[in-house]
Amino acid sequence: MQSKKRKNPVPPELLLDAVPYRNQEVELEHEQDGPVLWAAVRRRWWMRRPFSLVMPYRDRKGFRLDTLGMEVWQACDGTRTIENIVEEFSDRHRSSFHEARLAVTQFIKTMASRELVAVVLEKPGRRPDEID
Amino acid sequence: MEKYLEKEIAWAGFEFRVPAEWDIRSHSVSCLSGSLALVDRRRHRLELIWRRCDEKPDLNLSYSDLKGRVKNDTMNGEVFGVKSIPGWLAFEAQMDEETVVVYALCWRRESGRIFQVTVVTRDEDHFSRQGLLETILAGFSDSGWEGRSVRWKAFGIDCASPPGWRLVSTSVNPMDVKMQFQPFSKKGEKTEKTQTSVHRLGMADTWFSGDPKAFLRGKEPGLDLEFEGIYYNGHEAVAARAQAERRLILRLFGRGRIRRELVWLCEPMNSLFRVYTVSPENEGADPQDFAVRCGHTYEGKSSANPVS
Repeated sequence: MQSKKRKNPVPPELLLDAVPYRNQEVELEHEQDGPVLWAAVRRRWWMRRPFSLVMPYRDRKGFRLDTLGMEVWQACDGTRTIENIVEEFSDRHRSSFHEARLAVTQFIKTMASRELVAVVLEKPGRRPDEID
Repeated sequence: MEKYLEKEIAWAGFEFRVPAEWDIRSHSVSCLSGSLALVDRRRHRLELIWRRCDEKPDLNLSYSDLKGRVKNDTMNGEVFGVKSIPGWLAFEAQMDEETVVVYALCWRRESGRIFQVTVVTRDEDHFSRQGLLETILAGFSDSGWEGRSVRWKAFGIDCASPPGWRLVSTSVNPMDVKMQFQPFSKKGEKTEKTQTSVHRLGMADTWFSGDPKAFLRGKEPGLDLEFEGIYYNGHEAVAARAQAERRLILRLFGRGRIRRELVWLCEPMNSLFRVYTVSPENEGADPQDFAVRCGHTYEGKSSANPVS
């Protein structure tokens, strides 16, 4: 049996030019234990009626952020490339660019996999805030 | 040109300088043979390979053999010799419209090793590739490692392993770098009972309470640590000592080991440094033997601490 083909990973040089955008549907709430991102749960067929009458499913799921996560989330405003975010992060925390890149890109990947942000690979030569 | 080569790298007995934005992507810990690969923000930039070769090799033969192999991969099937750089044989190959790869070979008597350096240059580079290569190679020095103290400067750590000690493992994660050393006998056997670990923990402002004693107690809750405040390399540091073995029976049979710790915060680097040694009482390995310094220059911005 052939294994499922994996999508080609984005080359790191292109990833740095990508721009992360926040999911507009995600709500940020500041709770006592820290900020939480609330995202709507996509309703599958088994989450709808009549099944939901027996077993109610939650409408949204929350992701608690620490201070560093909050920094990166706030930086994902659609005007900065990942490279800009990494630079700011490394300057703020006095770490090297390469160290900060690993931490920031890993976090953005996690957020993207949870549909909290969308990472847009910009066309070369275009300003990050330009939208078609 | 020198102003671009702001980052100093010392590894396995050799040292060289590269532009500040370059960083180590992969590395070997062996002094006998291994490789070091460096990247800039976007791509692979340099690879250094070393192999043990006690007797002087026929470098011209290796050079023409390498040339022959590279020729097949070039854009136009040609390679060009590079103006002689003392001690090195070098040539360049056009790989595509923008990329030129320079290969250089040398053999160093001091360590009995042969080195191959591969530098990738592109049209957009703000320095000429010839100048870049010449400066990197001219600044390359190899003082060997056998029976000598070996300097290791990478990942924000700058230390020197005493003669007879070798780097046995590394763990490189963002803001968390660890290098472990062990002494080896003349026959090349590892001394399992003695070891030293050099640890750098970055972004200290986000997690470190400012109390090194509390940090050590938290890390080693089972040890009865005796603390001492010292001044180390321009920093206020905490030295600690404890019996490494908790079982009394081991100590009674003379198999007890002493654990010595040295911890300090380097504010300009926002990192906490921790060096510890574990050794039998009679050997007395000390963290200060490794002369660990805060060793980073962040993308051209030198550490503000003049001492470290």
